[in-house]
Amino acid sequence: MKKLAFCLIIIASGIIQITILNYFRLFTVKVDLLLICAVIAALSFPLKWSLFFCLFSGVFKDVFSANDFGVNAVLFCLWGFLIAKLMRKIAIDNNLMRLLLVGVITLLHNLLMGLIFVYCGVAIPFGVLLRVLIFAPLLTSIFFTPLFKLTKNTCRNPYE
Amino acid sequence: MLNLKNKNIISYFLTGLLVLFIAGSVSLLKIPFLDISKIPSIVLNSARRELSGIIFYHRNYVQNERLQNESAYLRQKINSLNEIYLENLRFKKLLSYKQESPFKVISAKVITRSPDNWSSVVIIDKGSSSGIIRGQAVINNLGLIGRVMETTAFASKVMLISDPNLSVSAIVQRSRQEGLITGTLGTQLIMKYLPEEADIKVQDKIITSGMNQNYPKGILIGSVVEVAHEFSSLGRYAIVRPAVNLSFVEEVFVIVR
Repeated sequence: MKKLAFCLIIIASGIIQITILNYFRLFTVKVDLLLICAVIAALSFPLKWSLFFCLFSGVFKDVFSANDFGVNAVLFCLWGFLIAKLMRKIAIDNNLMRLLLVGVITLLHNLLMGLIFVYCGVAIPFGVLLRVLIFAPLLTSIFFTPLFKLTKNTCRNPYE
Repeated sequence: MLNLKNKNIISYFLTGLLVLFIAGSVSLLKIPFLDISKIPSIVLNSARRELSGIIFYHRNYVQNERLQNESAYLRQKINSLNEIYLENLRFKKLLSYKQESPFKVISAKVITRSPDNWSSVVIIDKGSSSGIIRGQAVINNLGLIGRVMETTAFASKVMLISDPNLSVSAIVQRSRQEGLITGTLGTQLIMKYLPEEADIKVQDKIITSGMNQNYPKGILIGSVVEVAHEFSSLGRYAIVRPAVNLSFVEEVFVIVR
């Protein structure tokens, strides 16, 4: 039931991201709610289920974006796996640590996406790249806490 | 007899004067009299209002609540009617464009947008069942919007011209100078591959060149806002502001022929 509820949260976040979030852009940068869901899944579920939710979020994002299909799915699974590995080394049990983690993951995700674009020969202005790299982690970190609180009752950290 | 008559005349005269004096005085006294008489009536009225306010408190309270609800409902209704009015204006413009357009077009509505920061795509509510196929140009009454990337039976994915993966062959309307328009993921476009001696200046209109069959010739793309030299100094490029505000596009036309 908790897993089903989390699936519904992912779907709702995805729908919000592709519809109304377009009107709440900051310097043309928008929040990545699906990435937040992937991070929450990695923080709250066992590895097998967190990978499933990361894959689900990534596929949802890939379906609606113009990039090559599977880029987000692979990257989200990678982040989920790395967070699970990190949680075995250090305890991520306070808000500040979680915010920092989301910020770093968003920064790395956008940096990788930008580099993939550059590698594929698509010229992206440096200003646009810098703008996304600065504002995306900030915005995503701001939206992380409310979404995490919303899902707190449905998914608990198995390591706590 | 004569004396009597004189007395009568005098008494009539005096009576007339008195009447005239009173008549004149009434209009003169009217305003101060009214001013004075107003005071007790104001006092009485306010006392009556306060008293009725206390007596009919519950009735007034209920009435006030009902009126507030009614006011909120009417405000909401005005807002929705305003939205319908604006939509109607937009549809009228689109309809007149559709009738005047030399192309055969299919109108569609934007239903969703790109979920990430690295692509500019929208999904429209018409697909292959309406005759839309991959590669067709998407426009509105203001200018070029993008190109159809993928289609399903009832929806299509449209890549906007602000996406860096999309390039459109374009010309400067005034001088017919050719170049290539590409997106930047921002609000402006870049016109690349302009030679050093290119005749292009600020506020020039940029239109499609018709080199690519998917984009018919003459569709407005935007206007030049800046011309600069490339870093390599081998050529120039122009910054172009799109004719269509791509962030808030709601209704589009797909050119099918």
